[in-house]
Amino acid sequence: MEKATTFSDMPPASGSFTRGFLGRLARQREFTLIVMIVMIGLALQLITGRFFTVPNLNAILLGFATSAIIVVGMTGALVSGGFDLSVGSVFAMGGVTAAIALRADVPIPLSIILGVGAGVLAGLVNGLLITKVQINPFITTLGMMGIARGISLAVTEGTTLAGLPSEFYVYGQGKTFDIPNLVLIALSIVLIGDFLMRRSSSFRQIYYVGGNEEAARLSGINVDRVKIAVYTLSGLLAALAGVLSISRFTVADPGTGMGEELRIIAACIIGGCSLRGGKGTVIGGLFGLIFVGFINNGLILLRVPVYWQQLSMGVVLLLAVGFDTLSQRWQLRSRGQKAG
Amino acid sequence: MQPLLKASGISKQFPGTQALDNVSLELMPGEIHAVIGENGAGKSTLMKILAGVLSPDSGTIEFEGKPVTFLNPHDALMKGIAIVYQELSLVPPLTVAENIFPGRLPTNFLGMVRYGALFRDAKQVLDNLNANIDPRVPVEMLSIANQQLVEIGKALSLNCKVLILDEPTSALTDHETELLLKLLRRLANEGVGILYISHKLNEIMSLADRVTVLRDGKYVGTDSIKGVHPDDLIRMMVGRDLGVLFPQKSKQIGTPLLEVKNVRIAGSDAKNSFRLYHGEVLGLAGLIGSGRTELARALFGAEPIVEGEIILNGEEVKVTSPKRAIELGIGYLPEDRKAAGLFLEMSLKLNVAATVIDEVSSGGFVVGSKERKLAEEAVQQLDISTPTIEQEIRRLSGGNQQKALVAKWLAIKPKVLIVDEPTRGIDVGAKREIHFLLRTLAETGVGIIMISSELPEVLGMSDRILVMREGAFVAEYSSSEATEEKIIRSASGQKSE
Amino acid sequence: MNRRDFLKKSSVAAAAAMLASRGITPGRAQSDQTYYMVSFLSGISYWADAFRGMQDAAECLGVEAIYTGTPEYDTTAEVRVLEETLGQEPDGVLLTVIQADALQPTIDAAIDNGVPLVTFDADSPLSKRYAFLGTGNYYAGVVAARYIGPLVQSGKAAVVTVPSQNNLALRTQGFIETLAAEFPDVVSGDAYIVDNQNTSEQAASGLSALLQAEPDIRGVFSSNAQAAIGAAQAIREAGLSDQVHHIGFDFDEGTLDLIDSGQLGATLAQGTWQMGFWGLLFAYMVRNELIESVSDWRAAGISPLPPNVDTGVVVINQSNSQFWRSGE
Repeated sequence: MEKATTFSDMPPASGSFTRGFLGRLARQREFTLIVMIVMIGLALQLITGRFFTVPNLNAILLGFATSAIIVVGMTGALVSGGFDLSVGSVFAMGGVTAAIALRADVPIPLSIILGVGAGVLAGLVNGLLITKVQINPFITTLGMMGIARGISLAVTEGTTLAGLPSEFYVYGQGKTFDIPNLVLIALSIVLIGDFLMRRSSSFRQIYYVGGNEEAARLSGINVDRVKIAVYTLSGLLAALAGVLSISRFTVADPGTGMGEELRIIAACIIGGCSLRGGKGTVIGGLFGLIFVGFINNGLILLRVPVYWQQLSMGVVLLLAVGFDTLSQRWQLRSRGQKAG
Repeated sequence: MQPLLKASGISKQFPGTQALDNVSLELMPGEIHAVIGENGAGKSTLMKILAGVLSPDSGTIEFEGKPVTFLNPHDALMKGIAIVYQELSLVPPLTVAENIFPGRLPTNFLGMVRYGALFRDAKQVLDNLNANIDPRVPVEMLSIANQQLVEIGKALSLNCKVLILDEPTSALTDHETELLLKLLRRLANEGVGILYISHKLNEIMSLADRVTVLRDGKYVGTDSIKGVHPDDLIRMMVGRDLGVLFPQKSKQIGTPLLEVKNVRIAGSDAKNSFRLYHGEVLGLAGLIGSGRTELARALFGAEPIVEGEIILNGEEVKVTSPKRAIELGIGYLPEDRKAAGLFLEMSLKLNVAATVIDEVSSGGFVVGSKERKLAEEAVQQLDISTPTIEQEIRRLSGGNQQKALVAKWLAIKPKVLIVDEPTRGIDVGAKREIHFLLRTLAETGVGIIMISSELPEVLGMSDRILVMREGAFVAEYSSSEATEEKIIRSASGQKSE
Repeated sequence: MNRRDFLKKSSVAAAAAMLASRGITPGRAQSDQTYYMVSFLSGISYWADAFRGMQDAAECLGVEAIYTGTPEYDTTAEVRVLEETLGQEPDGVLLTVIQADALQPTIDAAIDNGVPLVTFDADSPLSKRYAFLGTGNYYAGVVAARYIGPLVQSGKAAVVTVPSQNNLALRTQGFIETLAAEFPDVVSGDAYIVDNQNTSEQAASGLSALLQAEPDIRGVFSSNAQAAIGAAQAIREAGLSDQVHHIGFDFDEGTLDLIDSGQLGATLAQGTWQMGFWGLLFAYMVRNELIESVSDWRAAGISPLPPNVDTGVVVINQSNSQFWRSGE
């Protein structure tokens, strides 16, 4: 007999709404993260008095705008039970491809499409290798990480590419209603991505595939097609982020984005994705990024010496995730579970 | 005689659940004592308390007449109480010997393991169990039955006086079960006290000396097996008269629904043909590994069909993938609930909706209300016991998980439903409900193919029975002519006398 | 003629004259000789200029120059590539060293086998290599400080760098110590260091935050190319382009564009072409037994070549940037 699940720390009088909605909310990683993010923000504002200023927030938002776009694709890959290590390299390749096109006087929209197309191609190859050749995602995307980086370095001979048409900079440097276009673009992609992952029937299949691949297949889901789509989307978004990044920095650097994959995966995991698949939201990943961004910014605002910043960052990350994991386990244990 | 193990007034509360309420139990030396109850009755919680995994809120445990408390499972093991779980706790890549003596491997003065001595000691333990197992092979290469023997060997090598077994036969063949029960009987004769949890009443009737029944965390009663009838036990377990375990069979069978002609699947030479009629429950009997599951998966498009025809409602169809099968109205409830059926960490709601994502969507987006309605109807129709439809399915009992899986297949409105071991490892109440549900479904015209290794179930449910051996059909019996003996003979290839 | 061409032509002329005086006619002599350049992170643009110098020298000497290396930042991989290169029996090797101690045994073995080996850009000082041609990193920081100091006059100066990287740390140290000694009104120090982790994104976020925390920063030294790209953008996004003076490090076409468009005040150019050009000449001289500083340098146990050559840094800004453009 499974008894109704209740929270020991909530009075029964709190009613079904509290238990249902707020209860579920409190259990979500996103909620813990928002609380931590707000607390960090308030603390930094109180201590430094400089945190909630337009230039500082602008700087933080710009700092993770392109990463946020990549997070959307990575969330898909993680939820499907894999991950994509090639995003950092595809990020560079997308930018380099678009830069080459732009310098060859290809019209701007077509150049963007070419840059993004390079990412689509890389993602498609990832997806095909993972599904049809059955190479595991780690090796496949690690290989693609090398290939995409190699292509970027080879076609540029390692040099950065500048001299892009100035009209192209509007995406990375322009502002609309005083908000950087880059931030607006990234935010739209994140919101659309989050909505699709939550509500679209096609994206819903990703959760099933990551939850239990065999059960998904036996439930009539075309597992291969879902995975190919996931990796293609991840490649597309990484390359798009790369194109936007060269619009911001005015320079395409074939060496850019090194280590980006780990930062993105870390943000997604902090945001509630599971490396075992089946779990996670785009918004969670975004909150993970914001969390890391706030801490990075905060460490500098607090004038922590540079030599201590990485250490502090590591400690804060482990504390945050560790606390969250433990609190969930405590909750679980206190709710108890009677096996028969 | 003094009891070997005595638990008195044990209570254990989890928030929202009184898992155990003043439960008592006595185990005599040399006794086999069965503990039964429906899923959620508190059997496992009680065993975990006796094995030191959980500590009770109140109550006392006496071992050989002295009160004891266990700090942890290791402590209990060292004091002489061992538990063998449903999910075995061996380390698969290590050898049998290393698994029998974990943490106490014989070493030389350099701290290196003396493998010669280790294998010798292990061999002795296994010989004592009459187990023909090579102590040098990795445990992962053994059958489940032999792995269980290794677990028991591990317990006995510590001179355990109490052995707790939780559903030890749920994954064993009949022959393996027989051997295990014989071994347990022998161990009991040597003075070991055995606590035995099982759903299988016939096993308990033939094995146990006494039986204790739990229900909803409460102690219902203890009886000597002699002079108790299985029906009494069922009544004690469910707290009401269950009536019959199997529904009435169908009075009349309809027109042909599915016709399988000379179908051969990859890796087999056999070509199989059979018909399934509207409203029929067709039982597929056979030993484990006789090819029933493979055939079922092929009909569902999950394995390739090399040659042959499948005719559904008079039209030839190609079932190329599970997706196609579902479009055609063919459903398949897999035998391994956890590996192939459930999305364990997802909600009941999402599990039920997995086969019909498009039906609960509109314009490419999932409609929350439709999805909820589907799940709520399933909960109601199948009487699934769950706090909410948002509950993670792994937190439900086995019976409720299985009902949710059935609901998932009902959602496609199947014409043909293939169920593979539909009641494995679930309690008798849920079992009965699933039986009646399948029959109700058949009465609406659905054809049901039921694979089961439990002969009473095959006999009790099927309108017709096909027996498979080595990938091919070897016999067909109507409901009236089938007996357990005939089926066993056909399945094992013995000539009738 | 731009400056780079001039440098190149004058070097080539000097080399030709020297060779002629030794009775060797450039362009056809020793055409069967092959020299290798071995690097790590072989894909990055930084080495391209060094190899261009080597090719220019090769053309002038009539020998073949081959570029090789490991694409990764991986010590064992570079050792392996060097060993494979030595297996080809090269006539000389120009090597940049990822890790001084790790490569020393292989370098020593090459010398013992008679392969002339010189290091460039990064050295293995305890090895038997004949010569090292490279930038004095500390001195590069000094040059940056002497550029930023007079422009800032009084205010604060930040460094965008990777603190864990030894060569960059030396540049940072040279910068900070020179500011302290020669420009006491310019405040700098460890508290003004931003770690850019070798990416332009981190440089931008990090410097943006520091500009918020320390609004009176007036000078920035970016000690690597990615830092320069990111820091330039951060300064622009903070609307401080007119107030903050910024000097980067290294150059390629992208950096030159940033300078010409005013987003980057200046950058420090290393003499990478010089490393390649003179490096090959050094190896060639030894290989062809043209060194007679003493009657027999081998028997005397001395190096035939100047052991340490500082190829220097120069400041590139809007006034001279056109000379570093490749001659299109």
